[in-house]
Amino acid sequence: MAQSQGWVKRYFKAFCKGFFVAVPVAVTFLDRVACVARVEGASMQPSLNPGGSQSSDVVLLNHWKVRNFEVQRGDIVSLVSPKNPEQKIIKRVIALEGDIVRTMGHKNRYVKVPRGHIWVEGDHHGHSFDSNSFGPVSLGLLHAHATHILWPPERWQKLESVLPPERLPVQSKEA
Amino acid sequence: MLDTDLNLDTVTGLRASLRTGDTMMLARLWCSGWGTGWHGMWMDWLCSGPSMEPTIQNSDVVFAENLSRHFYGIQRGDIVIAKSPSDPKSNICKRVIGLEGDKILTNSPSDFFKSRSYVPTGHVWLEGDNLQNSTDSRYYGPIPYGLIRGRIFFKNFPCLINFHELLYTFLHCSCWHICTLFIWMILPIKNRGMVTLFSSQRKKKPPNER
Repeated sequence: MAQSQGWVKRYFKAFCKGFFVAVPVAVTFLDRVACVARVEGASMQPSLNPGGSQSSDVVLLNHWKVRNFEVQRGDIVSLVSPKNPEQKIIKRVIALEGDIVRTMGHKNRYVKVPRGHIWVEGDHHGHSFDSNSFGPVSLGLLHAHATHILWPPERWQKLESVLPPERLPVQSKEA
Repeated sequence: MLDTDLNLDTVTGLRASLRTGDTMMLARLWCSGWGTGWHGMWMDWLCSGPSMEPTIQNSDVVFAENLSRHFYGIQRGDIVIAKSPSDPKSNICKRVIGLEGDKILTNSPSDFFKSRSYVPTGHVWLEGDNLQNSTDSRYYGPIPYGLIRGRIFFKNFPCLINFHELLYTFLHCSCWHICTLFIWMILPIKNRGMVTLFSSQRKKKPPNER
């Protein structure tokens, strides 16, 4: 009887030790290095979720790449929604600070992206809640860079940072 | 008597761990300290600038907790640390004047007519306490709630120490490492026959020795 109690106690102690180390390390990793997320919605079709609600893509989100807020035009990024802080949205970076964009559906025809901000758009124009609705977003809201599609297996691919030629900025900062 | 035994054994345990190279555990604890605890749940900040005088003076050290923003518990009147909207790598320390939906009086000192606007959804309006000398939402507009990093709950007493940037950086790093090392020291890793936190020897301690 004493031996079985000792076994339970030892197991419990070992579990506690492991738990209180493993959980913070896992939380740190998922928060700072990389995590996975399921994409919902049709705003990034056809790049993400081409099948609509039948099958949602699962993407790998890389936090480490954006720790210094360095993004390129054409990157697919996830950011905290400026209208709803509880929600993360995933969009493509169209323009960086200093660029002038020709908007689609924004109240101003041309917008110069202010310092420390970026212009994001979904690939499915017209069905996307993006910078055309809420304007340029601050870089501080950047959450992660979506690098790969992990699920479903037939859609395994690396997400390329391509900018559709019709969405090139009218004037970019380097010009 | 047993108290000193415990201290000696813990230190011996520390030294034994160093000898056997228990760096794996230290690395794991370092990771845990980074994500949770210091940096994760609370953080110290060195404030510079006159925009929050007289509440927060130049070179004050303040402590901010990060839990309120995760549970959306930021209220009007809280002093918060947020990422600057024009430079994500720098931070600003301001008071929350308005939450989403509030009507805000917006006028710069040069305007004659006061204008009012509503704070949009998902945004907050920040103002410094030193209105004449503060670049805040009156200049760059309401900022998204997602930029808020933490809410200040404690301020040090600046009259005791005047913090220099280098001294602050040194103290900040050492506080964090000291916390991690302390956890490492008191957490028994391998039971090498020494007194541990759950050992039965502590239970046998006679009560009159306290």
